[in-house]
Amino acid sequence: MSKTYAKKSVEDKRKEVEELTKGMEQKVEQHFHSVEDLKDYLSFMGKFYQYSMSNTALIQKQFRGAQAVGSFKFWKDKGFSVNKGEKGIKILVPNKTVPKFKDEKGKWKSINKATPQEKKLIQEGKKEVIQGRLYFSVGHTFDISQTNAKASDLPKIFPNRWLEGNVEDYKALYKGMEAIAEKNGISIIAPKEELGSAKGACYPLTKEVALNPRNSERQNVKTLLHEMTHAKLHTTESRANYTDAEREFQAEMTAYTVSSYFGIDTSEYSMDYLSHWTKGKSFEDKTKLLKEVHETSVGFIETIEETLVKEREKNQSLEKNDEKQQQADPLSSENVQEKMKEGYEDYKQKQQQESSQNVDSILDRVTAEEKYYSTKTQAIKNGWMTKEEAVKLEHQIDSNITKNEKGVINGQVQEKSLTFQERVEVGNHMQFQKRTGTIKKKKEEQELER
Amino acid sequence: MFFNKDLVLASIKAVGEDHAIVQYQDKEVEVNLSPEEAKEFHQYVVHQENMLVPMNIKTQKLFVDLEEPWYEQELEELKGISYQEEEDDNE
Repeated sequence: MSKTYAKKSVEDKRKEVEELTKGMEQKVEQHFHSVEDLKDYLSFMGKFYQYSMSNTALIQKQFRGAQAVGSFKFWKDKGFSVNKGEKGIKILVPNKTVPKFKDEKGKWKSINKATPQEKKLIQEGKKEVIQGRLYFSVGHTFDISQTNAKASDLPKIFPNRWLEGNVEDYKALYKGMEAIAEKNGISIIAPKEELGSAKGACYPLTKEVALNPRNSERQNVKTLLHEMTHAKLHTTESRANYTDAEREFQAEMTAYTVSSYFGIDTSEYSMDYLSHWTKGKSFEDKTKLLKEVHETSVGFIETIEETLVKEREKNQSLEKNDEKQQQADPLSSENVQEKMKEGYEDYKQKQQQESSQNVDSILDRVTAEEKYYSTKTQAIKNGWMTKEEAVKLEHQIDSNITKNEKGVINGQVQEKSLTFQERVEVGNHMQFQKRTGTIKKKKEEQELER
Repeated sequence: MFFNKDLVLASIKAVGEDHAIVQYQDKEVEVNLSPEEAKEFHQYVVHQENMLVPMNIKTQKLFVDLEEPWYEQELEELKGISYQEEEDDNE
């Protein structure tokens, strides 16, 4: 038997909102009570970076540990259902009224009802217009844990987001960092002086950031987040508005938020500035500080996420192509010679084209290398070719390449291919590639590396 | 709320020819409006009864800027968000 429910009156809804938003100001104060409270809030804010600060606070208040929320309809459309008896998480839903314009008779009309001629006059600024007004209603969302969807379904449900947690590919992350730098007009350069034990530096006058060449890949990512926050927020014009402690505190908070979103280890981030900073600070000071951290983190997360999603799509389509190719023309005793030759030549060609300054070329070489060695293993395993025959084939191709090459291919001097060790080292120092055009800088870099 | 102590979400109790009665935190306040604003406001309320309007309690201005970006309108996961679905299917 179906139940019937009394529709909530406007008054009920208003009371619900009052209840919901009561104590929101105290909540802001609470974030600064302890380092743990602050970290907890920052991680949550990162996770729900697409939401306003008010709604993030509302979700956190009602459903601690929420991971990804959606409306009832959203889950249904994606093929999942909300578990029976689950209570929705209330949020504020922003809506905008349609802009209006004054027609010839002086009547206000919706812009949707404008004739083509009126639309033209509106565009030319010849009509009086009232912009759309923002108002709110209350809506309900449900966390994934309140549905029958699993965490493993997240990439499928949110294809444009990175919700799978840890990013292990630091090169892809670094690409994201470079995209942030480009978007914000920041240059990543070699340090202008010995950094000692400091992990990085920011030069606000020139909007440049530098990393200590001794850093590991992981440290580079973490330090860049910190230094780029300085470069974005604490410019020559604005830095006087902040104390040293405030600047460091904001940079650490932003780096912590972004890192926690991508599952980068955050244990080294220090929030020690909290105690120095909170003394004598007003509600407005705290709100302003958090707002700037929120805005900066949103921009950084969006850019890195976009880069990671593109990389993921690229890898997926490469895998699909390989599968398709293998299905269309599988390896057999008849085509093994031809396939081995093609595969090895492709791998060698990619190796020659590989450049330490181009991450894509490194990935292309790795893919071709993996493909060739998988063909070789399959050929030997199935007895279609002996190990010796395979080595002989490789030598033949190598000697052909050497003959053609003589150090020059297509009229261009090729860069010597790198050993695995060299590649790792280059990867660690990729940040210097943008500005290492001069011999002097290259020398400095080498000295630092030692 | 909204991380600004002067901003509240008010519900509309009544709209007159040159004023509106709004309610927030169990207080009823009369807000002066121009006749044009009142007319416009009346139309909104007729079409959207579940309307909560941002208001600055110091200046008593309605539809104020919230100084906070709201991206929720663009989120696919919030499409079709409403009371009805939850009440019918879950409670």
